Amino acid sequence: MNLERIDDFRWRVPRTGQMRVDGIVYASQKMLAHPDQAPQQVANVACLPGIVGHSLAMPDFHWGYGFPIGGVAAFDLNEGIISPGGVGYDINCGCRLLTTTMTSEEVTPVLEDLVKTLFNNIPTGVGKSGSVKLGQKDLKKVLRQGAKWAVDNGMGRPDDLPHIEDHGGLADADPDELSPRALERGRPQLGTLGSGNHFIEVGRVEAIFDQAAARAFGLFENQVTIMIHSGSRGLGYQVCDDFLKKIGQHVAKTGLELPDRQLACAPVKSNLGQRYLRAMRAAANYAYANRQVLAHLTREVFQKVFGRSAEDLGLDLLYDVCHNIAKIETHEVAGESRPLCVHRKGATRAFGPGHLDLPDFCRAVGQPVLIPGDMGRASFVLAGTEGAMAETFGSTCHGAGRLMSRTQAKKSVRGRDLYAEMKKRGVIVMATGKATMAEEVPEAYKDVSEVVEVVAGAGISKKVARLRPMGVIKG
Amino acid sequence: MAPFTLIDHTADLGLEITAAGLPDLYAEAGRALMAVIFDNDPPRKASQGQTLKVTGMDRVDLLVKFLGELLYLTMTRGLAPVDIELEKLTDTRLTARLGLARVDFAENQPAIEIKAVTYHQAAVERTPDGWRARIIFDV
Repeated sequence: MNLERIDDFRWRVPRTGQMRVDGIVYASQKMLAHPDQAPQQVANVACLPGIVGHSLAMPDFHWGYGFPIGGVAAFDLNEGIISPGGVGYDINCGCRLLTTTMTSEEVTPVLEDLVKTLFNNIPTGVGKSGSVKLGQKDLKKVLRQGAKWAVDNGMGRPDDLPHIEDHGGLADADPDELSPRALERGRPQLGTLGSGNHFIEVGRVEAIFDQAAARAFGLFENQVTIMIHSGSRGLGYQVCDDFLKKIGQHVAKTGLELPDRQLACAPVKSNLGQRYLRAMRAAANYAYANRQVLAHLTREVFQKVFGRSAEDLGLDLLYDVCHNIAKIETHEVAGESRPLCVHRKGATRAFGPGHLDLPDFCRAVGQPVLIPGDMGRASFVLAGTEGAMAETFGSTCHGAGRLMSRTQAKKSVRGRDLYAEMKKRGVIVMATGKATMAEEVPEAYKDVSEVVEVVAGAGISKKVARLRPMGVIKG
Repeated sequence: MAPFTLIDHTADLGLEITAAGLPDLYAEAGRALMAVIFDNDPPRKASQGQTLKVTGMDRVDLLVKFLGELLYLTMTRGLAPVDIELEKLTDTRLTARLGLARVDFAENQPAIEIKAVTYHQAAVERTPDGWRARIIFDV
């Protein structure tokens, strides 16, 4: 695939064949030395009807299914489509960050106990049920209300909600669009972490890059933070699966030719497109509630280990972002304000300073953006910029992006004691799954610092702080 | 030739399955799924049986849906298909007889959580020796 250099951080995928627009890949030269099929997937997305602007890939891009991971694409509401593959199976997989009043010196002496207590009290891994017992009625409330349901039921603080994208709940979500199987899968799993690349990470602020933004976000050097990465669990996977099949049948009937079956899509304005949107929002709300419950459980663990109240420890929610979603948003395109259906598949919203959708605490500096790295190196807090609003429909990267397949990762670590290696690096890890450590080894991922340098260099985000991991639990 | 091989995929997991006949291909794909979930050490003994009927638009859709049902039984119901036999198969319908073993995930944590069976690059093709299928799972 021929990529044309635009500048140090942007590469064009020129419009050819069935592509309706160019693609733009945000990347460094070095990243493009590791080609997989992602650039072809950027080109495939550019073939979809009603696409506006460019088919985009953020610098953590890698080969997905249909859309690349790290893909962003916006569609006209009248002429354009919505695609469940452009959101992903894990609807509203995302991240939240809690800040504390503590420094790393206060936490290090009890770090091992803290990680063990988190591991023993937060359900991780496959087949684990959560401690929240939901009947059908309550489940439907979760799907309509999102994080608010958890707060109303004693699992959080009212002032958590403004610190969550969409205030923790998307409007016009319809639980009745979910299949009985999706509901069956969702009922036992609220407040569970999952497995694979989901995690809870205790870290510390290692460096501050923007003092004003750090002050607005409540960050200071050497502060202990907690990052939570999880999504909509089996309920979300089932919603995507159900609608991919319905929409796949629709595509077969209409004869729409697609370069990849996983790009199955329906017009946004169609009944089927709207039904998917309403179901997707319900699943997204489940994920917001899930992360709210996980944060509540985390606060309880910290109270237990430190013998102090959660309020005394701080444990405030900085922000919660989603990175697999489709939303109706208004953006400036060629000087005109247009409502669009924006897909972010492994990409994060990054609204710039002054945006009216942002809460008071960050409106002056831009939306907090949370970028988890691998468990050995770093994570970042960024802020959204006007550059993102101008170029990427207010979007940026979501993480490090994989370099190695799981098979390659497992081969590369044979004979190594990964837990001991991580401990030597100062990181205590506990994981449920046998293969998790091997598959999630740091070198299986791009260096998140390089990913962040590209988005910062391109002006679509600004660096606020770098976090260093201290302790991690995984499924 | 081994009935299945892993395909290298950056973020997810792919399988290529081969068999002499088409019914065997679907059955082997199901066994391959179990081998991947349980790291080549799936449960062995069935404690109950079930007949599974699936319909699809074509052979690929049928395969994706069939494996999706096996995944649901395993991950959501805790019933792993340890015996898989295709009783009827056309391009758009299949009937399979399954022997199912109860799985306790607390004791037998799967090696990997497969979220879904995707359509990405999914294929069911004739080869000189029989048939080949390709499937990518979201993990």
